[in-house]
Amino acid sequence: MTDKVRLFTLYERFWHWSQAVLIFGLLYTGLALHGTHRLIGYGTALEMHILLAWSLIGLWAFTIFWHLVTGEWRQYVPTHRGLLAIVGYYAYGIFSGEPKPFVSTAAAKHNPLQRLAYLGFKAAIAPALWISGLLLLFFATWKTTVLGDWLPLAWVAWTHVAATFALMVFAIGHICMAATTGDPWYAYLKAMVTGYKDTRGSTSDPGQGAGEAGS
Amino acid sequence: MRDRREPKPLDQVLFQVQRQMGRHLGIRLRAVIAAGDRQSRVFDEGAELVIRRLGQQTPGEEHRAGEGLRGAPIDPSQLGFPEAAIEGRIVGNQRMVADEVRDLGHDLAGRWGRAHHGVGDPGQLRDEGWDAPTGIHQALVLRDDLTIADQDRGDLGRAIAVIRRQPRCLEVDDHDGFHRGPPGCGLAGAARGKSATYRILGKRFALNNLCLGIAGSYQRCSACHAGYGWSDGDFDFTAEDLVDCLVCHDTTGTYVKFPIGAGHPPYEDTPFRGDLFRAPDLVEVAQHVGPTSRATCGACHFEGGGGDAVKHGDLDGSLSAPTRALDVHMPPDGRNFQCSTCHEFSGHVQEGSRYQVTAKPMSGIAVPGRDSDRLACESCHGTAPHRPGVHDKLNEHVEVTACQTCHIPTMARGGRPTKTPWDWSTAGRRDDAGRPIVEERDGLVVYDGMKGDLRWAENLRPEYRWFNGTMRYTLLGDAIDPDATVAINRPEGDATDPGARIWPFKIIDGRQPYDTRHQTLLVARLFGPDETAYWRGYDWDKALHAGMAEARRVGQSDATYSGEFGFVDTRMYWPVSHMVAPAEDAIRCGACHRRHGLLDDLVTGYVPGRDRHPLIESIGWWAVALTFLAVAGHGLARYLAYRRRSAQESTG
Repeated sequence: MTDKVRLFTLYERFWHWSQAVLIFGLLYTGLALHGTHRLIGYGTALEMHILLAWSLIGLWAFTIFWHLVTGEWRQYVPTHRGLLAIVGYYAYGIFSGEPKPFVSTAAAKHNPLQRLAYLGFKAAIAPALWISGLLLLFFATWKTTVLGDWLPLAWVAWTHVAATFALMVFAIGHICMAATTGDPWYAYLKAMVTGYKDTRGSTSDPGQGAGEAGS
Repeated sequence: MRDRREPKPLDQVLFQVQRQMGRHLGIRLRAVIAAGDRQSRVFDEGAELVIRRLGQQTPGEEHRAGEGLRGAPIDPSQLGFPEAAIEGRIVGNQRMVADEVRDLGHDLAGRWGRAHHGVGDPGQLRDEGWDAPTGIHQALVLRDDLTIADQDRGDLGRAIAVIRRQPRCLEVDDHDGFHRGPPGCGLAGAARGKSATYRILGKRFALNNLCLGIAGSYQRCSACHAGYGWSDGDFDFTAEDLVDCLVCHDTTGTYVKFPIGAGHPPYEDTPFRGDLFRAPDLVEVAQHVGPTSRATCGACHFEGGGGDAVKHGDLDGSLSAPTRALDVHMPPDGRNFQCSTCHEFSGHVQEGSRYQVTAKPMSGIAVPGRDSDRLACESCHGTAPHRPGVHDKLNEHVEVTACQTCHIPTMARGGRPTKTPWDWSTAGRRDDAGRPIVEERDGLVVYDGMKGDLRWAENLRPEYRWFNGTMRYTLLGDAIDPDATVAINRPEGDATDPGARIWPFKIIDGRQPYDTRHQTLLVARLFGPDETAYWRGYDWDKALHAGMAEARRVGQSDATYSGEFGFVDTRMYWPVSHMVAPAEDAIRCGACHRRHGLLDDLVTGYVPGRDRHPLIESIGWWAVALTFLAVAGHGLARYLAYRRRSAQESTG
């Protein structure tokens, strides 16, 4: 057993962090468009929002391709096995210093709760934002079509806004749990930056990990 | 969805009457007559339009010039000719003038020979230029309906021109909606044998809440008329030799018209209300004629409402030599547009849309020589004027927003305040000597015994309304609701009207006399030689009697004055098209895309930045807040537990 386990490839880290930056940019400019803050002008916010959105769409398009080619999409297949244990850990065990009932590996990077959360983000929140956002952007081209008769613009906008709130909830929970619940507390954050998980000095016994696959 | 009805009322008739009438000057007419609901005409396919003009009538009591204001009458002899000559000049016997001018040895004399001409009416209502067809406004009747016409307009005199309309090409109103004929009609519209209703507008018929109306005050109101001697309702608008060429073509800057001279210049240096009006050297002026300029047009159009900047807000003397910030097209050191660059003339026929505004010119760039419409912003800039960047949202606004709405962020930006509101009800205060009291604040007259309370505004943000180009006018005799604010004119159109866009307006609020028994607006004689004129006798009752009598006499209206008057709040809408700011000064997106923004009440449907779903908003923010609290609490609990464990480990 080595001291370091390689968890995230360079592309995964690039994808994660660039996506994070884009999403925060979109959130910042989107809230300006929504009127939540007025730190930047509406016109500037709109241009930036659209540029960021196209960038994110491009990034996602390639990342979907990457997932399919590498088979990494399997990381997001939900499972109920170990889910309750993880939920119990975060609800109770984490306070009493119990070991985490999951150890991430390159083959199984996400615990069952993460799988659910990320799948929800990728399969529900993000598509809702994409589709409603593109409809908002291209309103002029569909407002005079059948779709325009059938779909009020306001519904599209409410979808976009509601999905944004869901995104914010996800982001807050994700940042808290992914960045502060490691051991030491920043362990997961560090892994996402360096790509490697440091196993030295860990209080958890790697042998207990459900996903331990050796390295 | 937008209602795809055909909304063009009678008054959107394209009507190039003035060409057929051989007029010297004119405006390519869109509105000779505006639709209304008061006057009904029944006609059939055989109807013909008859243009009639005012016949010569005996000079009336109004034919006087040289009336002084402020209780300090000017001696008519100061005008440079004996009173009889003034009468002659202004009334129509122009022999003396002709002789005088002929002595100058200039062919100008020929033009002055008989001093009446029918151009002008600058500054009145949506005037963009001269008003050659004023006579047409005043007397458009249906030929096959002469009985009615004669009853209504029998005082207007003989017909001078007959215009055959094309079959099925006349607008009708069946009282619940307008119909029009196939496009391309010389007189668009369809005559369907129904009762047509229309209104006759123009300076002679429309009212306002500045000087109320022209009746009884002709010599004052027609001082800006580009003709000589429009001193009352009897004026030959077809007489080319009454055209004031110089007011448009002077390049010396010395030619002026006397404020109460019915269109004449002062022939001798003459004081008026504290200003000395110097008599122009007519020979010098005549030898230096040239193209029109901002200054020549502005000589009348900047002065609408009785003084510089008073009426329009977007037209004042600062536009004679504007900075780029004031008007992006007209700075002398920049593009140096003149008025006629946009208000293009062709054979003295001018582009302009006045009573009927071209509110949504979507035909795009007007090709010179092919398209006649060369006035709108779109005529040069097209209908997709913004450079598309990462999005094309700005150009998508063109469909519903007039260019002027964003690109004229404020009016009266040239340092000259414009007037609003104007309260006539407080007029009449005079000092012991009987002179009207004048009060000033910050150099501006805020009370004048002649006019009442006045207020002024600079850098004034326009008001915004949907506008399809049709203005509805309240004329003399129209019933009003004195408990509400009476719209003297009202822009028509709403968000469901495909022909409407959001336009900026200068709104002038006013308070002016109305007939409390008939519940109609009244027009007062303000200016005149005797005690019936308000500015001499300060007696509203007499002035209203005189004004309304004159209105009836000249055929403006058959409305009468009951003898009981009060004051009613009124409002006028003046579309704003000038003082176009540089792009960087245009109204920002966020001015409307915000809660309680500029167009809050006008736009239905979802507007980003303005509209929120209250439930989504409240559930969303609660969810965000609770999530945040949960993770914060979770983290804090973890930290405390960790501290306790550490303490236990160190002690144990």
